Amino acid sequence: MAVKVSEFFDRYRSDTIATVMLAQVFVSSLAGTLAWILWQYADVDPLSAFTYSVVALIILQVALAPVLVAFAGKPLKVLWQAIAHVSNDPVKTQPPNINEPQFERNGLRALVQTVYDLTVSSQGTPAVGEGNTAVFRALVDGLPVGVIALNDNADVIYTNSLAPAHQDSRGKTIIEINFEQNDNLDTWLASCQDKLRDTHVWRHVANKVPGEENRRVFDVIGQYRKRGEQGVETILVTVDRTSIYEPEDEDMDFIALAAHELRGPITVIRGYLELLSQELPNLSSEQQQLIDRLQVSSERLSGYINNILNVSRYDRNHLKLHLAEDKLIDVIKTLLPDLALRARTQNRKLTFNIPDNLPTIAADRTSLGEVISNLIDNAIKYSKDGGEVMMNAGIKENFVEVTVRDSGIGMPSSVVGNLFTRFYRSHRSRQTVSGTGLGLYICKAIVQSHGGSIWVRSVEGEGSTFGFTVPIYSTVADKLGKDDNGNEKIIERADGWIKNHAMFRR
Amino acid sequence: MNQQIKTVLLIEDDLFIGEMYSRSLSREGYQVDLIKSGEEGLSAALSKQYDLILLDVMLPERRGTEILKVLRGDKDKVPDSRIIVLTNYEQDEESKLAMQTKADGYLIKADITPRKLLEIIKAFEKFEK
Repeated sequence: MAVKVSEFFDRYRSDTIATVMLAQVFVSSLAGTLAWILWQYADVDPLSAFTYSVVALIILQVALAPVLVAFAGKPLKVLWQAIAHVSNDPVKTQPPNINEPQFERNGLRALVQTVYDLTVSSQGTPAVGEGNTAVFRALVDGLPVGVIALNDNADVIYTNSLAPAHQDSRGKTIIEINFEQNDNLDTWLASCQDKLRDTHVWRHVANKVPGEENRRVFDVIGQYRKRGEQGVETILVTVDRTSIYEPEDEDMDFIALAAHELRGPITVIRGYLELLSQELPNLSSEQQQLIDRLQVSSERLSGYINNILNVSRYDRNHLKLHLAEDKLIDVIKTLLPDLALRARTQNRKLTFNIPDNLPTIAADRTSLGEVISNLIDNAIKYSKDGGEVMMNAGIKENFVEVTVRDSGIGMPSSVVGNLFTRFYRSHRSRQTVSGTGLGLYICKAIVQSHGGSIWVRSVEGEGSTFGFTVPIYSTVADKLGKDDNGNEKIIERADGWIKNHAMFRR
Repeated sequence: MNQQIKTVLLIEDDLFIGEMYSRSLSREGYQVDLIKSGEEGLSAALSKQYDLILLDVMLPERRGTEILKVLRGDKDKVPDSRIIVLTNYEQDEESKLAMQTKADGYLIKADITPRKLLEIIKAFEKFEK
């Protein structure tokens, strides 16, 4: 009958005690018998006979000791052979033949079988013997993805051959992935601190900025396990998706690229017109008017190019606004010279009615400027010669509402619903007024990205009023606080940004 | 302490645009060196101290972004100069962010005229260095 693992030791102990006691009794009897024979038959005196008997007993015990140890140690030997066998130990040992009936009787078979079973079930774990580690390394290096392992200190402790990483001059491994500012490795690891395990995926992240050589675009999968095995707490797997993402990027960049090309000539036209008007002081008023008309037209062209670029960005989800505290009046002031010239050359009366006590707004100055510029451009375009364009502003709940009113041709209500659609222009205006049909579409996109809304009211023949809202800064300040780090050091302008050194450097 | 801007290095490969800014700046009394290639522009920036460097991005030989990396990479090699990046090819967000750490200004050429550039330079002089 087979003996189970749980019964093994009790059986082993009683068997061994019985055997050893039996052997002791046998050897002692042998020595006793020897003393009796010497005394009775060999005429030896009792004391000498006893002495011989003790000596014999000692010799027999010494001879018996290895036999007893071999017997008692047999299971240990078999276990040792089994363990040496599964651990690839170089010591030459034969694996025990556990099918012998004696092993089945004393329970060793069950014991050895358990050792074998444990080894098979744990063969997936690394670092069991050198041979396995080499196989493991070859396997990870041969994977068609990058593998990066981080310890609990977020230091890189392993990278395979495809991992986007390099060593800096101090020998520290640096991961070459440009994560988005608000969704990077550090923010994710920080969010993992109170979790036991987590998984995170980043899509479309690159190792270099566009235009640099050997740019690769990845999807990255992160897996976090608190106190992971072998000190591996975080594993990043990078999948190179350049072949899929890159052509997409290129396709979508075509319009943007074309519009960018237009910027070169328009820069030159605007710049030289300005230089000309500065260097030709004695122009007649008529000549000055010609220069003004050129200037206004070049500015409008420049605005249209920006509309195209913004639409291209918006449609690719690349239109990013940096909302900051700003005053509506300051946004208007940067536009004023251009807008005033535009109204004057086209003989419109442009008036602003902006209350002094308006609260500050949360705005992206460049984009908001483009909204205002587009609305006023439209109002001038669709109003009559000598007409008035008026901009008003006021508070409406949590927003500042801005309206632009013209006394122009107006629109039938059937047209109004489609106004903010891409490339839509009213049937009649198509024949009389130029434009891309992108202006109101991008205005809506920009206003909505600010968290506001845009609307229009129009009566045919009497004119139109366009209105939009932007949030009052104090109502959204807590939401903006996070991404605004350092932004107050940067002064956003309608045409770019400059740093305020008073705050920026020491 | 406010720092007056007198010397200007203009690195711009487009002849029309380069001469446009150079002419307008010179008329206002600035000493302008106009250089048309990235490589020469970089060596000029390193060999002579300029108060202001106007740096185009799309340059032959060396891109403006590379020049910026050399000048303001690990070490600020032009600590006494202001650098304004001028471009018509707007960068994506990540490159823009990278530039904000190195440049002192970033302007779209099509959106500024020579007069506006002068105003910006004047505004710079008011900021403490």
